[in-house]
Amino acid sequence: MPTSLPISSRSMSASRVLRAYLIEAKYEFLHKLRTPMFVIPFLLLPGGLYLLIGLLVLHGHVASAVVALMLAGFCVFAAAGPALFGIGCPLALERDSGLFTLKRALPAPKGAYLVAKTIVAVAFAALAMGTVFVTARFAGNMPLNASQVFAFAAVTVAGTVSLCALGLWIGVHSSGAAAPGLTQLIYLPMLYLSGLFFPLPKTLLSWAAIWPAFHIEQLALRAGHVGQSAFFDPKLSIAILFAITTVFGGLAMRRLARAG
Amino acid sequence: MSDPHPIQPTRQTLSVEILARLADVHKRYGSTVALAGLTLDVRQGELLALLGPNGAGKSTAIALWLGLTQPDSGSVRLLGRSPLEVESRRCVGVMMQEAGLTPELRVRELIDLAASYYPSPLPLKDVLALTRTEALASRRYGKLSGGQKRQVQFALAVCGRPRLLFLDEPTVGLDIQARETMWRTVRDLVASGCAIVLTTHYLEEAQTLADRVAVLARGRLIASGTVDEIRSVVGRKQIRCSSVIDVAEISRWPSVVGAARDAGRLQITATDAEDVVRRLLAADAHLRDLEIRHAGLSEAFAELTKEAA
Repeated sequence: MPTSLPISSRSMSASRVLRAYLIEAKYEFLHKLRTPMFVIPFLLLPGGLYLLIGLLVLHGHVASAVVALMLAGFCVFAAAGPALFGIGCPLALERDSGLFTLKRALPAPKGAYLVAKTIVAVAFAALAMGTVFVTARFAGNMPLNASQVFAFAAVTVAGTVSLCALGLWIGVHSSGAAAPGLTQLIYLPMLYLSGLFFPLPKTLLSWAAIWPAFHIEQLALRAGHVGQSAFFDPKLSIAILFAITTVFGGLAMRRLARAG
Repeated sequence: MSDPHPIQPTRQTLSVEILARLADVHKRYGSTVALAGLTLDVRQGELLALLGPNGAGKSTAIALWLGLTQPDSGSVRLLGRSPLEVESRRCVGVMMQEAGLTPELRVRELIDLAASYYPSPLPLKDVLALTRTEALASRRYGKLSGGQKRQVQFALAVCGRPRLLFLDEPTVGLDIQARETMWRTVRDLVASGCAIVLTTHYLEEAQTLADRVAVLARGRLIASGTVDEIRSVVGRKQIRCSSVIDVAEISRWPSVVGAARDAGRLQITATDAEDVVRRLLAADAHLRDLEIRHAGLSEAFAELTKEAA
């Protein structure tokens, strides 16, 4: 049994710091993957719902352009869940349980915890979106070609970072018990008022601009050349998503640095 | 700061490196005073037991050393630097009282993750051997018992080859065998030069392990020294004997602080033991198994904290 603990060097090489980031992300990924309450609603449900509504209900009854829009809406819906819930809710729980305090006391590389959580949340957003594309492909009703899928997915995944920031802000300001409910208060109205599943009436259209999911879908539709529904100024959409990311992410990180 | 029980530095405390220091630290939480001018050092190769009633300031002191909170005034140093610098915390291991580790991860994965934060951690198999957690390595943390979880938290605390280890109530929930294993490892770590700050409510644990005891009350250091020095601060002695004398009668004698009968034997705490022994022998010519010893750490602790209240 080793009992002699020699004095450790205080410095860490860049490769070792990078390794710490990667290991943090690896175990965050495993943690999420082994949590059925995360995997089932966010990885499996969107594909299942698309199969039920998008194919069984609409199949053969609507034009392919409408199917493409429905697919796009389901993809943004699939990506939004892991991004919004994947950081804030676990952070609130880990603050309650003392794990976040332990992480602050340990010499983890600065930001490794949040970087890992963000990367994994975005990765799960991409996986969830992938399940919808795969469902559409194997059901034989895929209205987008490969380049459209790639462009649409890339923009959607990038846009989910804004939802990660919003989720982080909720997680920093609420308890573990309250965080899921508060997140739902944003998530559910956002899904419907962003026009992901049906065209919004004119009275609601101006309000759609406050929801990140609306801008993510507008940008993704334009990038993927999906239908003719992208009508919002893309520069303004990018600016709004950037503002949401920096304001909510910045406020959350400031609060974490000050009070833990 | 006025110290009601100043004790001179002991043999171990001279000419060794100071690894952690609080110098005249004041800290308030709203209107509550957590620390009121606390000065305390942790030296290389010593086990410092930090004792005090709830709210004495122990947790605040440790939080300051770990960079989890900032002092209102005074200086906090860890390995000669600010605890906010990650380089200083790379020489520190920590086992917190409440730390709900990720239940979905296996023990070896948790150790691997914690070890990744350190520049030169112990190999996984050595950590498992050192903390006797080999049998738990492949089990998910959430499936472990409370005592096993504490063993895993201890493994995480030592995996980075710390020079300074903070252990907050480390043996809560452990069975006797696991507790003795942890004590043995703690002694080995101290012998190899690691300094340990131990907070515990088990005074027997502090009495068994500590080189030095610091007693806090109301955010102040009220006594500091070896276990024997702390015990000698209190003038009480404990008397044990087998006798038929009535406990209620003994309780009325001068200088008797407490008397009880346990498993047929009298246990008397007194400030003037010699006088009490004379009375005992006069009252019962058949008195047997007489023992006199200094008060234990628990009696000393009770007396010191009562004075400070």
